[in-house]
Amino acid sequence: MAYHDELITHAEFLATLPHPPCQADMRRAVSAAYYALFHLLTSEAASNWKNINQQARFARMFDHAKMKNASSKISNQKAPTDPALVTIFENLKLVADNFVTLQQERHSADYDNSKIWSRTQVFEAIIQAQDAMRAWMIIRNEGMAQDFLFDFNEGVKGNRNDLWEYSIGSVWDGCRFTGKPEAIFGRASLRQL
Amino acid sequence: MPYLPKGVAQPLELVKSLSALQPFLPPAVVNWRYTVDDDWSGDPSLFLWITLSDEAAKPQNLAQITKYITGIVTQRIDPRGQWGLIPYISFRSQSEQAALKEEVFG
Repeated sequence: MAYHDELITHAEFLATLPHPPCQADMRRAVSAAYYALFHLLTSEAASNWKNINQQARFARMFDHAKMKNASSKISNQKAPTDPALVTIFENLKLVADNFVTLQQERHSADYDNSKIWSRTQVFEAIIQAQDAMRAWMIIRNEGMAQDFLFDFNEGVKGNRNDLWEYSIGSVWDGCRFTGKPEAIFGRASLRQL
Repeated sequence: MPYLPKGVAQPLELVKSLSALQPFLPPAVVNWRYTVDDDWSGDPSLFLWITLSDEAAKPQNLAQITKYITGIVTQRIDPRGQWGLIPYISFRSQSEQAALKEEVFG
């Protein structure tokens, strides 16, 4: 079973434990639901990295805020006029919308102890993750979906991680065009990542 | 100059728009409230806190009703497009809220 599938199964397990719902279980379930979608998307992005042995490391380079920006970019877009692209866009928008929502919920579940989670809220988070994962599997090979993954590298202007952002963007280019990032940056640069 | 979304710059207009939502919500919505606040990364957001009937909140019905309500909010309010706010919608059941009594849900 893939890790993202294990996470969503774990979220379901925690959410359906016998009464009364324990806040720790509810919060961990929300977090697992988010990370199921997060790891699905980052593993998909990393699978574009030519060197298979480095894909797991590559998947660790993604930044939550940048992924949110990429998702918001899709969420703010109007549907394409080309009828052939509408269904693809709708599925991608579902992925992007649910990613943003789940990220907020995960943040709240992990850090905001003033909020109380009910089982219904947790079920809803799991449903959103499952819907997004299903939608992704339909469109994963489409150009629009691949562009979405590529946009995970786009930085926030003035972000403190400018160096990181430059490096990861360039390494990704290296992946796409040469597959030999060391040849571009050398190992020292890669370690900075 | 920082960008101020319409939903923050014109709160009364936003309230008016949200109030107009009421007739379009299904009877399964027992109560609903909203707050405008920043999300975890500082983006202005519209948080909707919706209490559902226990029947609607049953696991076998939940996905359908939440999708329906989310669709109404998106179509009627368009928080992102019209108001510059990211929408976050939370659902809980009437009996859960009766037990938890969380203020945001009303």
